[in-house]
Amino acid sequence: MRPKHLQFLFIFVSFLSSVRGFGFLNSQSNYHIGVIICPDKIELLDTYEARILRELVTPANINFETLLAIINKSMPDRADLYRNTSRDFQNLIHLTDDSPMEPMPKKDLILNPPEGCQYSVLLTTEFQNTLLIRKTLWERLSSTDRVAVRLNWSIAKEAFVSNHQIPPNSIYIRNLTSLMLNDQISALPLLDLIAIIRAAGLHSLRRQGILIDLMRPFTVKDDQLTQAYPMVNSEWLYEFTNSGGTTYQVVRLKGDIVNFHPNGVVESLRFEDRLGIQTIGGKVLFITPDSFSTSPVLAEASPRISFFSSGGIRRGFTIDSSSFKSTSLDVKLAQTRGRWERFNNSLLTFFPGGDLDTITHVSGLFSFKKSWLRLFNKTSVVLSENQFFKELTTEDPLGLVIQGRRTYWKGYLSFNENDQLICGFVDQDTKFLGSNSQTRSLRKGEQICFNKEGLAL
Amino acid sequence: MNFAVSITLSTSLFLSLGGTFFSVQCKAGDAKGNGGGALVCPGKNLEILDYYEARLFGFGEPILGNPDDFMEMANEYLSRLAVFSPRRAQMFRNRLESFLSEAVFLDNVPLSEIDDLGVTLPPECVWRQVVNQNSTLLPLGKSYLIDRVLWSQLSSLQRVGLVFHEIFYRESTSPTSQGIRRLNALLATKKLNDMTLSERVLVFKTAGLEWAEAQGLAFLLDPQVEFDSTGNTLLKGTAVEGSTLFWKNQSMQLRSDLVQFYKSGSLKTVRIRGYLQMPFRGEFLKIETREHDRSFLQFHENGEFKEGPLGFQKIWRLSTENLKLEFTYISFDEMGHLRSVANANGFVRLNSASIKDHSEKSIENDSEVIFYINGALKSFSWGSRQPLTLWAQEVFPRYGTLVNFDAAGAIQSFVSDKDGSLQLQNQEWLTFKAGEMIHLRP
Repeated sequence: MRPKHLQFLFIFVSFLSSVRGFGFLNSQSNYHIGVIICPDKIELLDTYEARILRELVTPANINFETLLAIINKSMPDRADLYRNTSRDFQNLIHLTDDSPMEPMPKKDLILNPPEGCQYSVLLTTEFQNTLLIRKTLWERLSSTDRVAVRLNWSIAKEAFVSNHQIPPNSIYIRNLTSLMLNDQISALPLLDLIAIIRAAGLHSLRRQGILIDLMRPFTVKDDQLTQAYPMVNSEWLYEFTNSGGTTYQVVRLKGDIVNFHPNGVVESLRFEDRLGIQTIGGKVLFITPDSFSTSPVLAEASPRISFFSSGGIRRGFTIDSSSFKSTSLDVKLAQTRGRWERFNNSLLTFFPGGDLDTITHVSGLFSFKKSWLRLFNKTSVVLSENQFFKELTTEDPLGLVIQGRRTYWKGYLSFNENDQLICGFVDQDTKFLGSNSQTRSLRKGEQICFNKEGLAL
Repeated sequence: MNFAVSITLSTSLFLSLGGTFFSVQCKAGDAKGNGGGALVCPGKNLEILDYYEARLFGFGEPILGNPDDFMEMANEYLSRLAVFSPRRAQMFRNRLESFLSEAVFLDNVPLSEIDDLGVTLPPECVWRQVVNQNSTLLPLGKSYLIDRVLWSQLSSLQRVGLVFHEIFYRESTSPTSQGIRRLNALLATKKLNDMTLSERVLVFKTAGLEWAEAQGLAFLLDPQVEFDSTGNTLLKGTAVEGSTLFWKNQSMQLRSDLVQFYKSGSLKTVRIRGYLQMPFRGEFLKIETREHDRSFLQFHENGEFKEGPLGFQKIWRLSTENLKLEFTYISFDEMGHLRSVANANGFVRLNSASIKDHSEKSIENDSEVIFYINGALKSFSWGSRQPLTLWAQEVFPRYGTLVNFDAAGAIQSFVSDKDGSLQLQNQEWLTFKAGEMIHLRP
């Protein structure tokens, strides 16, 4: 199995590749990274501004791997991405002193240099083919500042790919660079972190497992997301272990809102493809299709998959007619469809412990009075928490032995925990002994209820 | 254009709704944040650009009280603002109190210039940035970056102006600070008082502010607001979601929907969250406007409640000796007398010398039942297919049409469902056809 972070690297890189659209590039100018040159030293603007604005003194001798480890604490996928893109930095870098020194563009600066100092461009790039670094300045930079240059370039490149343009202002990228460099990111409240990331031109942040689209509205409570939109087609890793086994699968998310539990775990979302989850009845391929859209009820038209705060599956649809086998059921799923759906499907809901609560549109066998009873293809079953039959709905006749005789039933039937029929609709003309010792006659289609002794009420 | 980015509450400044909804919004100032600054001219004290422009535009000099007392001047400024925008003045008071604790002071590191200030400066002067507002670049809890050297050279009067420039900026969405400078200058020079409401609202809007206040209402500046011909009375505006408006000591929490006023300035229509309580015959009516119906609460020009829908949390009944009604809508006249109930179902027992038939007659489903000031029935929609006995003769009012009564309970008019004739009290015979409105004279 692939390590989790490596998995995310592919997820994130593939996502960025999907938004990469060089045909739309608006590269009117180049991106610059700057230094401040004072009589006694040269310092990268990122670390200089961090010192002046935030009183952050960047530690000496940070190497790039250490820096990635810092980033990895709060943004593992971004750390993986920057490890990857920094290779482009190494490939493109060209040290030269051929052109004259350039001052940093004024639009990129919030502070004027102190007396006796000046700002100068250290690096010029348009991200694709050129990355020019002024050799004499580079050689005078500290090793930490050189590492920061690589990080600044990696962040700027992500902004460039996300926005299809050269980042118009480098100041917010320097801000993010310095916060990462000084290990400040993981301590930031979520809202502040998002503001800083957004200002740097980045559009996404993976939080609570989801690559959040920061350009769309979101809700936050107690520093946790409670609702947010995912990046369309971004990937989400579902990982959960229950009695049925461990599920470890990546799915691509639709652009619909994701809800979270107060503990931060995903409560519900929508995704492309199928998500195979190990359940008490075996592996079920869940789906959140758009093709139920004929329903006038939004929740039915756009079904979601829901989870408990433990991460266990709570509710979901499947359209695959696979087997579902448990101690009380041995059925085929998705044997018919409901009012609005365009194809056969089953809705499954589960109890928090993983036991089955409800299963619809199945056919097969269910355990009833210590034997197996055959269900036909339009049957839906509701179980109690201790897995006794509670309710059953069938459009096909179901034979049950009641008062010693086989009679046929249809529609909604309810049972007690001793597998005794409580109420049901007969599918034939018949008679039952009543609790008043009288015989009660019933016409096909009539409903009748029984007491604990099995006598008609 | 690229502006500084901040995360903003997109619901309301006034209402806290369960979770808090955030969205990303562009802010005023240039990409690096707003720069509040001052003119540095040889041989003169520093002057903020807002005050310089006040003179340039003919507003005059800022007058805020004792020029040596920062707090006195700040209070005077807030008092002026409170006349036009009391909620904002309260917010600004809180921001004023935390201003210095949210500041990072810079020593010997000057703030950068801003390229286009939108004003021509005297050739001998330069503009210097004194405060830069950009919390994204500062430590947690800090919002203002201040050049300590320049700040120390500002008089108290200039500081007051600069502080409120920055506080206004905090809620502005304008791409430049020109509008904020103008608003700040008008407040400091007291010239805002000379403007009509519509002119003031335009100043607020140009400053990039999203809402203003008038007649007790906090209303959005976009979509368009409507004033009377003098420009001094708000006629139509969209309420800020969750803001409050008072009616007879009750605080109504408003939906972000149209609010209308009479030309006199009194409230005409509004949509609310929650409910308005109205005393009525020993109980309190709960009047509400639900999210999905488009009904409004309506008021008379004299301030009395006019009409509105009732809450669904209980069944509203009107019961007298001769009338039993359930209804979901109610209206009153200008004196507070019951005028009508609507969406009404029930029964009425007609009781008049002219009507011999005293059996209960049903009122058609969801009809409006109108009353006289004394509570007597004025009209209702006939809900029975049975005849009515007038002076010992049967007539058949048409189902679903209005039957009108005089104050004594005698029938004034009805629409007949059948051809017929009726001998009146004066012994004359009245002949009528089906579908005709029959008017009976006493």
